[in-house]
Amino acid sequence: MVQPKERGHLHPITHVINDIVRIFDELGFTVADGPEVETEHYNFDALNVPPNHPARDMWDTFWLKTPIHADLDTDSRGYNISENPPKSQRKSALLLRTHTSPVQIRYMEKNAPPISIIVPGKVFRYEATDATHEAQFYQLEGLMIDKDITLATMKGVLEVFFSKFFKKEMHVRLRPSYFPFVEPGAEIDMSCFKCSPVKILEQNLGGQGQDNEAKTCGLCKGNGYIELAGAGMVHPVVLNNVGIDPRKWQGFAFGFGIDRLLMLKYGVDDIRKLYDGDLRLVTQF
Amino acid sequence: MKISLNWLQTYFDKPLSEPEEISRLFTMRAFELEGIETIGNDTIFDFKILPNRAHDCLGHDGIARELSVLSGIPLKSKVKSRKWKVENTKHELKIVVENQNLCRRYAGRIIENISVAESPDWLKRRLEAIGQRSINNVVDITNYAMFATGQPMHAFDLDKLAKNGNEVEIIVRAAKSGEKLVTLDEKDISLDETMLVIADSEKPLALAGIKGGKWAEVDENTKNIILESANFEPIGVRKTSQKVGIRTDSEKRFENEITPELAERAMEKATALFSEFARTDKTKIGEVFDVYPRKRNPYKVGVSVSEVNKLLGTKMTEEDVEKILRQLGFEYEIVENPIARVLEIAPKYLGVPYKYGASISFDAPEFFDCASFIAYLFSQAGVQIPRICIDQYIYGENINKDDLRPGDLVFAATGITKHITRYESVEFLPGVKVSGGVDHLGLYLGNNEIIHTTEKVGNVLKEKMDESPTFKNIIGFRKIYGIDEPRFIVTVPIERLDLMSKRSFLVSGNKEDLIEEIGRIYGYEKISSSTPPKADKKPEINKTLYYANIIRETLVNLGFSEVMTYALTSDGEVELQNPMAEDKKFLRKELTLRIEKSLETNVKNAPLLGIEQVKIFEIGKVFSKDGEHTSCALAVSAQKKSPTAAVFAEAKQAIEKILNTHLAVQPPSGGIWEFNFDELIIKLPEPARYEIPETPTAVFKPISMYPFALRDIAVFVPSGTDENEVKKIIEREAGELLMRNDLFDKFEKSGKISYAFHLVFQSHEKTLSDEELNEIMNKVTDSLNSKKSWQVR
Repeated sequence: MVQPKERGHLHPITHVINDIVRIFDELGFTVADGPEVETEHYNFDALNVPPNHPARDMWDTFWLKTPIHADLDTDSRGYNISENPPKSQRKSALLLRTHTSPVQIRYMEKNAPPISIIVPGKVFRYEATDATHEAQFYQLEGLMIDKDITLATMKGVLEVFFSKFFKKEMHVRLRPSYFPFVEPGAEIDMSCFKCSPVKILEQNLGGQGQDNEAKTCGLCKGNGYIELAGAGMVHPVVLNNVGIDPRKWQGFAFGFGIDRLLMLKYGVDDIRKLYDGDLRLVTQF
Repeated sequence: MKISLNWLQTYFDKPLSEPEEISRLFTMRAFELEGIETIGNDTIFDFKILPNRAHDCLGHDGIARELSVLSGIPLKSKVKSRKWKVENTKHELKIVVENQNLCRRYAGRIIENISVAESPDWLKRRLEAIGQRSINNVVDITNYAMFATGQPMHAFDLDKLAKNGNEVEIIVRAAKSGEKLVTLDEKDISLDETMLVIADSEKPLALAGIKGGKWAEVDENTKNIILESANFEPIGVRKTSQKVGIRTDSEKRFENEITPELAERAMEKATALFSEFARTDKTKIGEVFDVYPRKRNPYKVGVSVSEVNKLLGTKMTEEDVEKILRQLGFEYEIVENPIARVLEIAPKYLGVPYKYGASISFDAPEFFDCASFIAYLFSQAGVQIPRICIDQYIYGENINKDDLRPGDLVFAATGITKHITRYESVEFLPGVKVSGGVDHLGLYLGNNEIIHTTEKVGNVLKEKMDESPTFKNIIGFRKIYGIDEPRFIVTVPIERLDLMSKRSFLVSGNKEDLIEEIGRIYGYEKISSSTPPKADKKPEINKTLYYANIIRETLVNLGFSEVMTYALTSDGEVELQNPMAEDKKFLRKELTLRIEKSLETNVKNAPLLGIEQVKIFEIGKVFSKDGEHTSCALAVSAQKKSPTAAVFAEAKQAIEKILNTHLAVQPPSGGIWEFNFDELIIKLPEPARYEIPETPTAVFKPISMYPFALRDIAVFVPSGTDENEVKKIIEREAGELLMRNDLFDKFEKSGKISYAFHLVFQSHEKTLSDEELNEIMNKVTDSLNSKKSWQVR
């Protein structure tokens, strides 16, 4: 008996990445990529996160056991960490990249501004796994450097992206935060695509959403906003160290979890299901 | 960081706002709130203090300051009057700090004849509110002082220390290899020379900044104590803490770095509390022995309104910025003409001695070298320039001698050996070459006059440029641009290390830090999003992504579905130093291992998926000793009607056709076919445009963890009956537990059609029993049979 050829399914992460790429391609962003095994230099030092600084605790890291670093300290957690010697003598340890930000550095080293890139990629965090946390997941990095790129530009780009991604008018809210590689640093909240009224009050500074609908919304718990991304204006020292004069060029960087965005949009309830090779998930897309 | 509202209220005369309002203020203007809970009549805020605000906000003092800024409610004016006085103590304290790089300040005070007892209720409540245990009044006071000021303290039992007559010596030194320490919580530590300890003349008493030792522990019999309020260098503290595996509230504050200025605040606070409720009528409070060799100069950072607007994308006015600086409580001045300010103050430093490598933070304005002098002058005008001579040379804009004006910089290559001639920039745009090198500079004052400092003369001097021996070999003139507007010069509050420059550590103290302060108070919600600029050139196409999508599409059209599996496995060539699990110690060297497992699982679920043959693929990175590359693996379940080899061959053909290339790799006759994706595409042409398939609209249906059950049903129906008619009835009767209803057989016989369906049942709540399934099947059968001329087989 002849079976009709049924079309297979792409993994939902692929679908989401494709969607993201399409939207950003229209905005003029190039897709860049980089290695998943990174050096400590690109993952931390070049991003203004030096060794032995508590900022390193913001990313729980998988370190590689490599034979090539003879002069490194080993602390009680068993990491290979480097001393802080002058750059010429620095040997960088290897790790699994904790964010896609190192690709910013790699790209800026090879390409002069103006720059518009996104980096979808797999990242790794040493974190206990549960329904919303996995040791491996996908992140999207964005970087835009030019003469007059400001926080206002960043807000605009993200609003266009979220609006196209969720197919409705979306708004973005910035809250003060900190990452060593941006200044100012911010957390990005996007308007709750489930309950949010289209006209978000600019004056709504984190109180209850106006709608009764917002008050009971299971997704945003009545905040009207969902925390999604970290972002900010690229720190002048980061630009400086890749040979870009921070007085002439400036811009923003942002990063968010693709898995999280996927789970929000499609209602997938467990992030671990994305990586156990189970077609019962994949065939739903 | 847990903060008690009741405790915060003691900093203010006016009543504070409601907790929700305080939450909102901090969340939108300062930092994140991780939690908020009510305990009794108190509200406890749990603030997420990141490293940038750990310098000043790991204590109620700092949070109160911040709350005052955000809410506008003024802090209580500081009451300066002490209720106790310093007296002569029987014992004498001597403090020796052997390593002043690792210990930046050590303040010690003897208090004699105290009474160790329970703390008063109000203190116990304060500590317990923020999750701390009350031990005794001495320990509680040191903890209270820390959670108030952000400065850790420690107390030693003086009588347990080695004495020389009445003299007690405390030595801050590196431990010696082989020394040991037993901590207050009975942990045995082996010390080495990388660790800083507080010791008496005989042995270590405490791990500096981290944990006290048992030998000098304060207990209920303690009569005399030494109070320590000190400041330890962050990297040393963190490294030692990691080595011995001890993390404490004290260690946390030091590793994030705090200003040594806090030491006296904590000492003052603690002493007042001792005097209040830990004293006897014989108590004697000694003077503070304070070792504080290097005190930081006030740090100035400047910004113009244009610079603020340029970074944030706002349209603030000078008044807006001034209002915000006042709200922040920053000391500031407005300098209309920064260059004029530089020229105005330069002559004040004539005669100041030369010191090579002089620090701007600590040595200026008592000592300068040629570059620190210039950098200092500009910093006082709110302009940051690089610290090193050659960097300043690269930083400035090149001008001709004819365009030289007062305030410009003149660079020379003196060749005097004591000066280090550099040929390449160091910190500013590192690696920019200056042929011939540069090693000196001066500030042009006009009228052929130049002011500079040189080792040869030994101090800052003014001379005629063309008569100066140091400027015989001028290699260039430079102008500092972008500073012709009025600047706000802010003197950074001493606790705000995040706004100061620390060249050997995280770089901060640029105008961007100040702009962030201004921006967050202004309110990010006031920044209107601007339309993204139109892309003036087409973005490059990512080759890997493009071809990966082509291959994905090709395989999906052949019925393959995509999986993604874990990169960490139980076997491989690249091993992790700190794996999370035994079976995830290696990075995968191929996709085969895991996709094989995925195939097995999916074969088991095939009925639920409604497929006969499982065809899956993965595209992902694999790792070997030589590096990583992108691999592609196909897995097909064995099927008599559709042999694996044929499926692989079909896939290979399709891929070769669509890519117009030849795949060198031969697929196997069975099992998994894996090939190097990078090698495949390396010779392929650069793509012109993406071809991105449509994304689906889908709502995810949760996957049940309970097993599914299979039932088949076949029914004869009159000729001409559509299969969907039969399907509809089956689905209606079977209900929501029916997951799949697939036709697998159809034939005609004697004017009747036989339809046969595979049914798959599954519940989200339990494993379905045979009885339950039979009941459903009976319902379906009855309903089908009830239709005229329909007969279930």
